[in-house]
Amino acid sequence: MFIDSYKLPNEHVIEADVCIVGAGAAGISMAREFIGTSQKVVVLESGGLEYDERTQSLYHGKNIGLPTFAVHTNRLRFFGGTTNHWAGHCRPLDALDFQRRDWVPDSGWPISKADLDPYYRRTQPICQLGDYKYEDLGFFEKQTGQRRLKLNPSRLKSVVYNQSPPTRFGIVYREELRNAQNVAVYLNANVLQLESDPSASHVTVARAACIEGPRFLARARVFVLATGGMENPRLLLLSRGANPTGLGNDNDLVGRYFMDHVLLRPGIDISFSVPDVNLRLYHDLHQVAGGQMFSVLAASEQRMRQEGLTNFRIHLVPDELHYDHPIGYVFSALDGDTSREFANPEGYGSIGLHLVLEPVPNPESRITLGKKHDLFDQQHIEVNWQLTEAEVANAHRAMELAAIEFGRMGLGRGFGKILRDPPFWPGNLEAGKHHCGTTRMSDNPKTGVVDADCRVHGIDNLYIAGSSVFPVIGYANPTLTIIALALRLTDHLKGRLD
Amino acid sequence: MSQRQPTSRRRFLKHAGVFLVTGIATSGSDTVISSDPHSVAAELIRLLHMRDQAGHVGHAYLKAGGDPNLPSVADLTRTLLERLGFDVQHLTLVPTGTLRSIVVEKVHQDYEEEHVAVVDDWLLSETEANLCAILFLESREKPGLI
Repeated sequence: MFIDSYKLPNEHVIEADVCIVGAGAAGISMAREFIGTSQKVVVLESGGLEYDERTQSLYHGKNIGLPTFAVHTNRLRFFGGTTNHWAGHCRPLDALDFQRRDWVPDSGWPISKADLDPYYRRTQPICQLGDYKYEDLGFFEKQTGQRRLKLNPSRLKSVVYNQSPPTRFGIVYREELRNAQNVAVYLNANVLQLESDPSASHVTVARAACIEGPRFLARARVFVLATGGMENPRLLLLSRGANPTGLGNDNDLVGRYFMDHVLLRPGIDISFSVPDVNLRLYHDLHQVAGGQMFSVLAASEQRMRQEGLTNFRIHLVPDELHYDHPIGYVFSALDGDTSREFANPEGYGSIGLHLVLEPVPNPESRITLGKKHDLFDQQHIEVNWQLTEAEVANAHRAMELAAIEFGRMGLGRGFGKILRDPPFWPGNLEAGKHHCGTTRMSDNPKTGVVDADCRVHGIDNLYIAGSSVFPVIGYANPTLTIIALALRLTDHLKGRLD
Repeated sequence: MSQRQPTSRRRFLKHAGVFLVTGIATSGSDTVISSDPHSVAAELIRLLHMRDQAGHVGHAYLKAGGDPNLPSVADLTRTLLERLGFDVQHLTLVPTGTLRSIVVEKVHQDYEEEHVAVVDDWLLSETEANLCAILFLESREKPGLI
C-alpha cells in the first residue's frame, strides 16, 4: 500500500518489524520479498511517485575533489530511485573481484562469488533479463551467428553483458507494492536521522519529516538503509545523538573509500586498416534466450596478476572520429592477409573503445558533511573523489593492450592521448555515476562498516543495502550486484525475524 | 580465422634457396637486398598506402627520436633490413612477394612481442614506424613521392 506522509498527523508513530529507508532498486527489491510474509514492513521514501524539484534539492552537495558530475544530477530522489534514469547495463562481478588481490590494497570481500550466485540468478527476471548465462559467450555466438574477436587471452577476453529494458522499478513494481497488505510505502517521508540507545549499539527510531509538513517517526525491530552510495553515509554521519562522529563510525570509516568507475569515452579510437570489420557482437543488441545481450572486452586475469592491474572493460562503440587523418588504411597492405575472413560489407571506418576502469580502494576518497544545509537545515555532503597514479597508469595500459591487439589482429591502428608516456588524463575523464564503497563490507570493524551480512558493526539491528557496501567495484555496473545483495539480506532478515 | 603460417627468412632460405652474387642483378619480380639498400627502399615504401599520412607519421617518428640529425634513407633502410633478418653485406635475391610476407610477419611479431611505438598518439609497430620514416626521408629526396 502507498501512504502519503503529508496526510499523517504530526508526531505520528509508525510501528513495524522492518523499516527500509529508500525505495530504489535495493529497497523495492527487499520490500517485494517480504510481500505475503508475516512481517510488517514499512518503506520510507523521500520522494513521491514523480520527480519533484524541492525533494531533489535535498541531494545537492559540493564536489571538492576531481571534477565530476554535479552531485544532485547523479541520482534521483523519488519512488524507484536512480532506476528512473539508469542505462540498464547488467553483469555480475567476476569471481576475482571478490578475492583478496595482493596488488590491490584493501581488496577482497568477506563473501565469495559463489555465495552470491544464487541471488544473481534470482535478480535476472527482476531486471527483465534473459537466462543467467554470463560465462557462456559461445552460446550467444551460436544464437546470434556473430563471432567474437580472436583476442590473445593473455591480454584481453570477450565477455557477456545483458541489457535491461531498462527496468524502471518505480513503474514496473508499483502495483504489486500498492496491493501488498503487509508492506506500506510511505511517500514524501524524508528520514532525517536514526536514533539509538545511549551506547549506539541498537537503533530505536528513524525520525522523518515531510518538507513543510508533519514530522513523525518509525519504530522497528530492524532498520535497513537503502538510499545509495552517497546518502547512506550521509544519514549515518547525521545520526550523531549517541556518537558525535556518526552512527557506525567508531573507526572513522563511514564515507571513506568512495569509489566510482573511471570512464574514458572514448579511451582510444581504432582506425580500421581493412574494410568490412564485423564487430556486431559488440556494438549491436541481440535478442537471445529471453533477453538482450552484447559483448564487451575485459581484462585477462593472467595479465592483471602479472602487471598488477585493476579490472576494466572496454565497449566497442561506433562514434565520431577524434582525429583529422585516420591512418589505418596506411597499413592495409600489411593487414590484407589476416583479415579477409572477418568481413561484412560495411567498408572502412573506425570504432571508439570506451574504457570503464576499476579504481583502487582509497580511504582519502570520501564523502563528508559540508557547510551548506538543506531544507531541513541538515548538512549537505561534500564529495572528494580522488584517484591515484595507479588509475592513470592502469588506464594507459588497458588502452595500450587494446591497441596492440587490434594491430596484432590486423584490423586497425589505435589512436588516443591516453597512449602517451608518461600517461596523463585526457580531457574526457568522467565518472561512471556508480557510487560505491562508503560503508564498505569487511569482517573486521577496523576495515569495514558492515559485516558479511551487511549489518553495521557494533549495532545489532541496523543493516545497509546498496553499493555503499562494496569494498571493491570490479568493472561491472553495480545494479545487478546491488539487487543480489538485497535479496541475500532479505533472506538473512527473514531468518532472523522468524 | 585460419592459423597464419609464418613466412620467416629462415623458412625462405631453407625452401627457396639463396642466390649469392657478386654483382647487382634483378629480375622483374625480384628485389635485390644489397649492401646498397637504397634500391630496396622503393619496394618497402610500396607497402604503405596514403603516403601523405604515412610520411607525416614517419616525420613524427623521427622527430620523437630526439636526434636533430636525420638518418639517410640508406642507413635507415639498412637498419630495417637487418631487423628483418637480412644480411646486407651479401647480395640476396628475394622475390618481392616474399619480402612483403617477411615484413608482414615482422609487423605481426612486433605486436605479439609488444615492440611498439606511440607516434603522434598512434600506436604502431616499430617496423611500421620505420617504414613510414623511410618514406618520409625518401620524399625529401624525391619530392613527387608523396
